Amino acid sequence: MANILAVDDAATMRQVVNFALTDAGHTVAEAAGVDEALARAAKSKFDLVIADLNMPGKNGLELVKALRAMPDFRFAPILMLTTEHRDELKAAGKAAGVTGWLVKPFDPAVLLDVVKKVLK
Amino acid sequence: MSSVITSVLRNRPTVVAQLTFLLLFPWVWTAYFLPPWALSVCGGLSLLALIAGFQSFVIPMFARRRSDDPQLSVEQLVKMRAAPPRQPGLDIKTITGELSQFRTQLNRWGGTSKTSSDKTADAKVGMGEVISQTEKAVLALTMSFRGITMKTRQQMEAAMSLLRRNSNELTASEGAWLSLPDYIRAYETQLQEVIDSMIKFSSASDEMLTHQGKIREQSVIIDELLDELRSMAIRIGRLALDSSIAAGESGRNREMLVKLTDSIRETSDGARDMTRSVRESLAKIRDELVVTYKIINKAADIAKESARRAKADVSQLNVTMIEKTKEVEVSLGKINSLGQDIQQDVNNAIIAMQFQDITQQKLEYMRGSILTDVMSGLDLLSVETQEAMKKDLFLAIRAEAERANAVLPGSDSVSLEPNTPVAADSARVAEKVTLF
Repeated sequence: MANILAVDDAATMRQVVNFALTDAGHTVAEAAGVDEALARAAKSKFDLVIADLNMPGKNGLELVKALRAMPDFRFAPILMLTTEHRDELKAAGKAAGVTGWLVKPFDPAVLLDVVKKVLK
Repeated sequence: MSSVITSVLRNRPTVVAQLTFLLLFPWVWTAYFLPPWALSVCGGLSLLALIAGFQSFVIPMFARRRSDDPQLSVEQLVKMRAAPPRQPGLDIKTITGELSQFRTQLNRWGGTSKTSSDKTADAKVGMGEVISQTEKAVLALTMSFRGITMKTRQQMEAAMSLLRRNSNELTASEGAWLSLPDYIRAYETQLQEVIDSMIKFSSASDEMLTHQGKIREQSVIIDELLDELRSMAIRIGRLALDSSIAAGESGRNREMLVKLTDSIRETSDGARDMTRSVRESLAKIRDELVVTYKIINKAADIAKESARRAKADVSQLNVTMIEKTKEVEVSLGKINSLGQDIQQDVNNAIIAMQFQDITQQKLEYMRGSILTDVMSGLDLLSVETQEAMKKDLFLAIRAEAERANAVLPGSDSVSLEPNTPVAADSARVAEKVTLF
């Protein structure tokens, strides 16, 4: 089972993601913002990062760029979990190094399926 | 456009007539050069234009005078009786009054902007509180929901493990418990073993009875031997007696023979007593054997009956157990199905919970962007309005108003109530103003 980092400014969303993934046997760490996520990523290695796009201060794309600059996360899968679904944002995410894009609200079964796929 | 024309027609009909004459007069000479048919056509067209103009402008203009017509609708009457547009007054008093009114309106606008800005700020704070409270509530709900689903899952797994566990797990970990089917199978095996033991006991009892018969036969033989022994002792006694008599008659070694025969007789009597004693013991053994026989026989009967009943009960029990197991399996299957339904409901609930986050993001956006913009706009308007009221124009109006007020002491004046928020606000911007 994987070690996953969930990054979202909304505590409820972090809790929901945690709930969905812990149920499937994964270990989930939470971060409320980009800086906290980067601090956690510097301390421990994660198999997967699930991040929100719109967060106060730095946004999810900045987090992706910063993570991609870290050796441990150069090839680690990063999923963007957001309410945004515009194509230009998706293209920007892809360019930044996002592995997948999930639009909120998400179905836990779909999330687990995607997690399974990207962790293969 | 039509209202302008109507207004001109109504208020300056002579000007319109003069203008028409001036426009048409330069074309009078053309009548000398045109053929009669062309003149007729032009005349006809001019007539038509005149009629159309009359219908379009003149009749509606004077329609108010026909408002007593009973065939007119309410809407038409209202339209006809509507007051004509007010003509702007051009005198300085009117201008001053209207500008003063405009200033009052600006004052109100400034006050309203300020109030709206304050209320928007309150709304922003309130929205923040709503977001915070909603987030806390949904968080608590999520935690409780998580607890419920975890416990439900544990219950379901415990129920399902009744069927899933097998005897291998029992050997794998000491103290592990059996699954329900395994338990039934073990119970059945143990019961079968008990029945087998009872049947073996019954067989052993039968065997003991057989041996007891043999013992009885042997005791009968011993009894017969004892009879023989007694008969022999009696015969020996008689023989000793006869020998004693014969020895008495012979005279030689008489005393020795008498002693010998007495001794033989005593021995014979002792043998007879012993035989009697053995017979009594044998009789007692036989009695004990009869009692033992009865007990063993009874035990064997009980064992046989028990074994028969147990066998029948086990058969019945097995059938019942199998039925019950099937019922349990069906129930557990239902539990499993319900568990899957619950999982689906959980998924739906998780989806629903995410709407709080989406709503929160929208509210945050409104609070952070829209409300801030509105507040800034309102603040700007308020400041601008206050600044505008300090301009020379308004100062001049105030001076003119004061002058006019001095000239016309009897004229009505309107003062802004100082206790209203608008007035209080305007008082901060300028001194108390008397408006007309």
